[in-house]
Amino acid sequence: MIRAGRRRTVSRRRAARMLLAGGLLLTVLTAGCGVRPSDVITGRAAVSGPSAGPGFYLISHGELTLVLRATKPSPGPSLPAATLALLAAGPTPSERSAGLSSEVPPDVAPATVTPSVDEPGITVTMSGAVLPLSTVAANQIICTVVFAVSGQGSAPVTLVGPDGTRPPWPCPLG
Amino acid sequence: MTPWHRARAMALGLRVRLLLAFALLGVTTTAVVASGSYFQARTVILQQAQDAAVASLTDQLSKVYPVASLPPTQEELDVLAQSLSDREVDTVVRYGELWSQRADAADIVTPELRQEVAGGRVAWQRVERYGTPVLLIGTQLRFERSDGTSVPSGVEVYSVRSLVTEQQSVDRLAGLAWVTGGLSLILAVLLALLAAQGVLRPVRELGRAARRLGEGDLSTRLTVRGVDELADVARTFNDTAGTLEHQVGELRRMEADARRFVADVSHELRTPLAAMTAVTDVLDEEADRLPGDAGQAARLVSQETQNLTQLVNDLIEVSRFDSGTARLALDDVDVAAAINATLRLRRWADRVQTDLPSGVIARLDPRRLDVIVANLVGNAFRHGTEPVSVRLRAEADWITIEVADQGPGLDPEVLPHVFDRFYKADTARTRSEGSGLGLAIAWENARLHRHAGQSGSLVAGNTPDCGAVFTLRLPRVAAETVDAGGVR
Amino acid sequence: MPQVLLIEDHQTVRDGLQLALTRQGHTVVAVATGEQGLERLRTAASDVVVLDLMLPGMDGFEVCRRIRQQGDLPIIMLTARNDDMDVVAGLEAGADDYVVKPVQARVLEARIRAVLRRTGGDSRRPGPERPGLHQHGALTIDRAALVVSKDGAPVSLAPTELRLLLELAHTPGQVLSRQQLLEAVWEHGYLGDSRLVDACVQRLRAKIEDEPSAPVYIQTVRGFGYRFGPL
Repeated sequence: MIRAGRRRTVSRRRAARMLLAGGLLLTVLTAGCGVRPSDVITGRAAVSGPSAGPGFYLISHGELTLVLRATKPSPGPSLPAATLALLAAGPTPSERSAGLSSEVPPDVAPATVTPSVDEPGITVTMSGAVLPLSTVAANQIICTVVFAVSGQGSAPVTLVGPDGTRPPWPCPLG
Repeated sequence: MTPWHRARAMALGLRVRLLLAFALLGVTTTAVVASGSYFQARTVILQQAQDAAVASLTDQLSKVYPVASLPPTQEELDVLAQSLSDREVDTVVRYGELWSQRADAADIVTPELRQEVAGGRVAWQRVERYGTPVLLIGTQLRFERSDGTSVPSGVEVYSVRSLVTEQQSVDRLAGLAWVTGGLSLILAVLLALLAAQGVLRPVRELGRAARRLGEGDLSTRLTVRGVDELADVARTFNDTAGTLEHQVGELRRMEADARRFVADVSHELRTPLAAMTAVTDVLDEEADRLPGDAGQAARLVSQETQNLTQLVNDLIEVSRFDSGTARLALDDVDVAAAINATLRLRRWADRVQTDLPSGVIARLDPRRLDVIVANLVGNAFRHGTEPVSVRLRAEADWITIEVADQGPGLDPEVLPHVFDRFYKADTARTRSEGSGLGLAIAWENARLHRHAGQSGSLVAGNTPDCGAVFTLRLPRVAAETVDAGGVR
Repeated sequence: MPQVLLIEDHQTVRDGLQLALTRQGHTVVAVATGEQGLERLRTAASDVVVLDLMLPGMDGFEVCRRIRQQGDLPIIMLTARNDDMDVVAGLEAGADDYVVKPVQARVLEARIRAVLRRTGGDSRRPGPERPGLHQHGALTIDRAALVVSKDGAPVSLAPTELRLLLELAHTPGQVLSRQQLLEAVWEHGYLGDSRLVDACVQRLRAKIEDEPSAPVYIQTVRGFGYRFGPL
């Protein structure tokens, strides 16, 4: 009796195990069918290319925004200096209507852009005062300079004016 | 074994188990292989499609450069989106809060994708749109700088590409996998049946052979095929059967020798006995005339000669049963008349109570019936107490004759040995009361009458009111003897 | 005084039987072999032959057949108890009766007397006698002369065969059981050997039937016995 009972339990257990295996297999087969939605897959770096003209940073909704102008910059001592002149000139009416603004005062230009003397980085010597400049305005200038100067991707920029010198600072934009 | 048990045994039989195992193996293997290759193929198909779509998009985007002005106007965004869209691809362009028209695609751009795109990499994701799978690709437009770094322009491009074609390919693959699985299951079942046949045939043969061996056919042998375990079993079976046959044959030979010896001795005794028997009448007649001891001696010799003749005759009769040469001489007999004749011939008619319905006709050997009845009644007179009764009963196919006495009955210890040869229930019994073979011969004679595969029987027992009763059962129509050796 | 020819190879048995039969009033001539027996029959007449079946040289069956070829002399076989086949073969060879050895002299003597009563000379016994000619189909039975002829030609019948035919023909159309025939013809007690009847019927059919396998005169009634006719 006991033997028979045990044998029955064993066979029942085996049957249950087989059922389980079959069920699992079927689940895998049916659930894995077709094209399933996926997580985000990341590939190589985003598309990049050259810009046609000088670019500088204006403010849109409180954030730095790159602006390109189709016009050629006026010939001058250097491209960065010319760009800074454009920045100091402020947005055009159409840009303004598109919601762009600038905190950079017009008196920063003209300015000269030179490599720093005793440390890596760029030094910008401006005509106007640099110490009262807001952080946003300083960032506008720093990022515009960094965008314009080749080979100085994340270099810190030192702003020098008649009233003094701001400590070196990198462009916060990647 | 109940039918349920038998059904269970059949359900879990070797054939079914083999079938299940093969089917399971086939299905599992196919499932693993088919699903493996299915997933692999699906990944390849999707990857190729995705890579091609991404490549196509980045290729087209690279033609946008050099970008002349930023920020773009709505019109510029629309134009860009238009130029990146075609029949299969639906593209939207975003700049800050600004979206190109036909921005319905914008709804399905997932936050996580946008987050990944904002990180500066090309990203894509498969999502479901209106029940069909689509591929979502997003990227920023960035500006390269001469040192190899880039800065974002603020423009993001999202393109939506339908994956229905790929879905169809994948579905076709799945269908193929199912068909392959089904075919392989059928194949597995067929193979299992074949294998089961291959395994079960020798097993069945073995079973049959074992049964035949059990039924006494010791010459049963199996054909040994191959060198597998079953062949080993078959070989072992054959060896066992061979040994068994040899030993049983040896035993039978010895027994036959012993019996033949008895038969030979009996035959040899017959010739001197024939001479002695021929002159017993002379001795009997002369005994009266012989003086004293000589007359007594003559009577004694005559009497013992007759007893010895009876013994030898019985021995010869028994040896005929043993050798299987006993034959029935059938005749249609009125059973009551035959029993009466037996009693009358031995002058027992007055001493026996009979209950013999007339008109019971049976086809049997009247001489053997006479031997049986005479032995039973004689035995009852010797060991029981009178009155002895003989009762005849007839059924459709059988007749029953009961011989009962009023004695002390048969001791339970004696009962199983009543029909043994030379069995003496009472050790004090003297030889002259019979050869000791009477009941054994009666038993053999009863068995010699056969009908429809059943043989007649002679059974000893006790009546409820004490007294031995012997029940003889004979067929109404006995079959002609072909070979009915009573082997004991 | 009936003359008995005893053919028995064992000397003690031969002597014992001769002694006993002689005391019963028979003239017994005892010989040891079948050849001697046949030789004896050629030179002198006997009334009955007592024949052992197991003989050296020519066996009892052959002796039986040869005696039957020469005439209707009654033959009683001496047979061993275990030889059923011998009994049947002996009866087929033409023996009238048989006894099983060892046999008491008075049993053998009674058989000899019974068989002698069946022969013509000693057949005035009570029984189905109805003298005269009886015609049954092509068969003519002369109960007075004890002659049977078929289509006018006499048929040679052994005494037992003749008695059996007379017994059956006495009550045409009536079934007689083997036991009845045994008692009437062979004068056996109730438990005679029915094979005597069967063997004798076979021999009789071979002599009087046109087609022994499809008998007309002596018909078997299965389960009961034999019947003469109906024609």
